[in-house]
Amino acid sequence: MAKFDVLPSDRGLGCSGFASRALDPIATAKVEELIYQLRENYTIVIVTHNMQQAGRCSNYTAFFYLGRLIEFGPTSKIFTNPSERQTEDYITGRFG
Amino acid sequence: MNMPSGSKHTLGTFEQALEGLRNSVMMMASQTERSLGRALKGLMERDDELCALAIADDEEIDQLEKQIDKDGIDLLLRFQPVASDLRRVVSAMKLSGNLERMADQATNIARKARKLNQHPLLPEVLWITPIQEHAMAMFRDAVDAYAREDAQAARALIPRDEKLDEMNAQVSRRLIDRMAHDPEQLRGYLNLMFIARHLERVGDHATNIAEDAVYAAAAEDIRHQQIVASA
Repeated sequence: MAKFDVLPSDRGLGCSGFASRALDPIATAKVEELIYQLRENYTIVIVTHNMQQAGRCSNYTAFFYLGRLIEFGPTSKIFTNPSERQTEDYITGRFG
Repeated sequence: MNMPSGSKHTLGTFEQALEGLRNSVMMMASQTERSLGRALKGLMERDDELCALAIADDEEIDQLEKQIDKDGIDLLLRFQPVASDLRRVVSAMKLSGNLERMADQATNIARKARKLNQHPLLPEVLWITPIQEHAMAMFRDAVDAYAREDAQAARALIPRDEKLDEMNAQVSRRLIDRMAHDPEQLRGYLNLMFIARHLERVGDHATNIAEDAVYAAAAEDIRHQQIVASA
């Protein structure tokens, strides 16, 4: 099952380890639908290595490497034309 | 700490699939250039055999277009490419459509040339030469910019289409004038007008390829913009 770790904030909801779990498609769809509903009123942070899910679920994407923020921007921008070479290399699978 | 970086994908099959798609596009471009060359040589040298070869090329180029679309869709499905990889796949699929239409223009030119070859030589056929040279140069430069992922070279090509349009309009006016003076040759002059028009369309497709090359290399959509030629 997916696990939500609720952050101590009235406007933010952290969702750690969500995407790495081996959920079946129906459970995944339900979790994603919940995210779509909640994001109307809350900021949801998902930490994931699943690029497809990140592209599908988020409005904004941040890429971190070894604890450092490399790039942050609208998801459509990050996944079509990232500004940083490191982001490009990571999302296109040139570095894993 | 710097992140390790490489120009190749960690997944070798993805790298091969992208390279294969690119090679197919380059092969299709080469065959399209050959087909246009045969059609135009068939016109200038009044060679029906070359015209027949240009027409026969079309079938092979049509099949290549279908294969590139199939490979592109397969690649999207299997690897879900993003960023520059996604742009490369999308532009390859769009390029093949433009190349296929250029090959259709080669077929059209070859058919008109065969009709012209059945009648005595019209000296006005030489009016086509500058249009042909301009259109073929645009074609080669557009494919070259795509192959080298050179957005600057691709951008520089766009304004050249206007000159081709002017050349086509000018030759059309001169041919209409000829028709008025020599109605006996009306069909021949009409066929020459169509050939000039087909070459003008080749320039349009070269422009489309240049726009797709800019998108692939620089992630910028420059279609439907007024670009003023730099002095």
